[in-house]
Amino acid sequence: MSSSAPVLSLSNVVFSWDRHAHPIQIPNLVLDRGEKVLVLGPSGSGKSTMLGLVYGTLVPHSGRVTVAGQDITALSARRRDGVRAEHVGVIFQQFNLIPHASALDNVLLALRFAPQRRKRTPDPEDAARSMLADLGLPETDACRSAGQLSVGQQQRVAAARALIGSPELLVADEPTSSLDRANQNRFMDLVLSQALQQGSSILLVSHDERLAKHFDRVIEMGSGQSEDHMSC
Amino acid sequence: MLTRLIFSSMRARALTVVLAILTIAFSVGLVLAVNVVRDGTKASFANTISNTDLIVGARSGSVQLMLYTIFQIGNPTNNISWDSVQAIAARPEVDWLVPISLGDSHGEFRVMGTSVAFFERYRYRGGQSIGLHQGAAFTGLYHAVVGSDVAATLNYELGQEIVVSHGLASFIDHDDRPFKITGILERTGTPIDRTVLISLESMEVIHRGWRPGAGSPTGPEPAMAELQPKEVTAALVGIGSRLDIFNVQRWINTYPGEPLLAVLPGLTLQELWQFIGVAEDALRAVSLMVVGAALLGMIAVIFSGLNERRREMAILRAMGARPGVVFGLLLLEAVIMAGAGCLIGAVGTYGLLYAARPLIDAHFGIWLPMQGPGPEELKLLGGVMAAAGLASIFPAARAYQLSLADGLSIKN
Repeated sequence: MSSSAPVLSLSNVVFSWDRHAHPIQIPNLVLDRGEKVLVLGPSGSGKSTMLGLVYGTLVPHSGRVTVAGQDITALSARRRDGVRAEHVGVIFQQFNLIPHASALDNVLLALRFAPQRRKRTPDPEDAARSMLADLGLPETDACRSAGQLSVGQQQRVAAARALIGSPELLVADEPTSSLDRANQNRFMDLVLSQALQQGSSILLVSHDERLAKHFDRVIEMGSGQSEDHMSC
Repeated sequence: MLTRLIFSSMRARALTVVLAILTIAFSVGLVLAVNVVRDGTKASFANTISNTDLIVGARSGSVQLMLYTIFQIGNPTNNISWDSVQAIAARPEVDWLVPISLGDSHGEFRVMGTSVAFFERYRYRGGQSIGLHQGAAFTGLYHAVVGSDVAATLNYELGQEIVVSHGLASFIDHDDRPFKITGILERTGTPIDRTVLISLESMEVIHRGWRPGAGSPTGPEPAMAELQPKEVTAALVGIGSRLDIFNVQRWINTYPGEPLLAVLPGLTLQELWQFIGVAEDALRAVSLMVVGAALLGMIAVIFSGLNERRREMAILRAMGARPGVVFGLLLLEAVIMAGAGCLIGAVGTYGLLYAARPLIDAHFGIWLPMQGPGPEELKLLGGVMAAAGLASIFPAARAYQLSLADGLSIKN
């Protein structure tokens, strides 16, 4: 991967959940290295679908999605899994932590199948612990299983898992929706400073425009599609 | 870390996992127990008589002859004359001959009239001779030696007087001629344990001139030498050279004096086992079905766990785990479960049977061989593990079929 290539680019992407639904179209979206982009839009505007296309759980009907210079639409599901693990850190809306595994193991899992991220992390366990500590998870909670942690703590674990090993791109789907205002700000600041520190670009999706102040660029997604979605 | 993940996942589903493991343990245990008991039965059966080359009786079926002379099942069709017995004993090839006379009973046990040589010649479990636990063999008239079961069941002691009944399951006693117990035999695990042994002469004396109701004639006891029986039920024969066995057998089977039958005990035991073998196969089929049911149960457990684990699988994929890893995790889990089940089942069963071995010997006269899992058992255990692994492919494939986006958007 050349350092000049954009971290993420979507061009002429068309996707629809079924034939009758109005397709989601993303003509052009490019994220450069270190860039922080907020995608705003009401629920149902296709934000999460767009993220699905970015981290390759969804495949567009046409168009190209490149992550770290690799066209993931041309890859097999298995290779796509590999590219995502290596280059994209994801904070899911539902966190998607493994509930019975410890917070530490959940974070370490991000390195398990991503050799480059692991190479950037000489002492994974140490790095995971300090990452969790930096994000405000008390040292004593690192060994508790994720399912036992509070929502706020789970969110920190999810963020640590996304950030460890310095992936080129951090993708987050409504990560602060379950937090109150004060905690929202604190959490965003923590995540952003971590990302900044390690040079990861950020693509964050939210309906909350108050987050805009944290970002370099804001993209609004229309609500047009959602109405078509709802017609039977 | 991945193995840690398997174990924490299993711990999170402890109840269903433990149930699945126990299901496998029970069914594996059942099959192993069936095998051990079957081997034990077969061994005990085959060990009932050894070192006897021929069993001679009246002409009937070879299995029937074996059953009534050795296993004390069923009744002799006919007796053989003492002349014939002596003619056989007189053959140069014949090393020894022990006559047997059956027909009377003592309670639920059969009475066998025989010669003192019986104690020396009758062998079981590969040449082991029957030993006296207490007392001595009979030396005179009205002496009885009882098997260990007889003594244990009826609480007999040395010197005690017992009465022999005429015929089997009969109410007519030879109560005018009580017998004295002179010896109690050691436990052999053979039908001898359930036998009252008396001398042929004693057998003769209680029947000579005897009529039901009237009892024996009074008067002085006849001398031992006069008490030559006119006929006996069967005879055990030892041949000096193995090469002569078939010659003697043929000679006996074509004996002109009366229709006789000589059988080879080992061969007849095998023939007899074939009858019992049908039950053995049925038993094995049932136990295999039990294993099959347990495996189905395990698949059900893995499968029902799959729904709660869809997210786990999706997360692993999202973190870049290849399909092989996901398959491997489920496979390993299934094999761990099956392995634990097999281990618990095997250790539990062998432990239990080992502990119960004296009890089983005491109650059923079956000495379990207990030589640990043989090739057949190992094959079974391996088969269970392999089947478990194979069974896990199904849920694993299903886990992969579900789309990644689907698994990642499950609401808590």
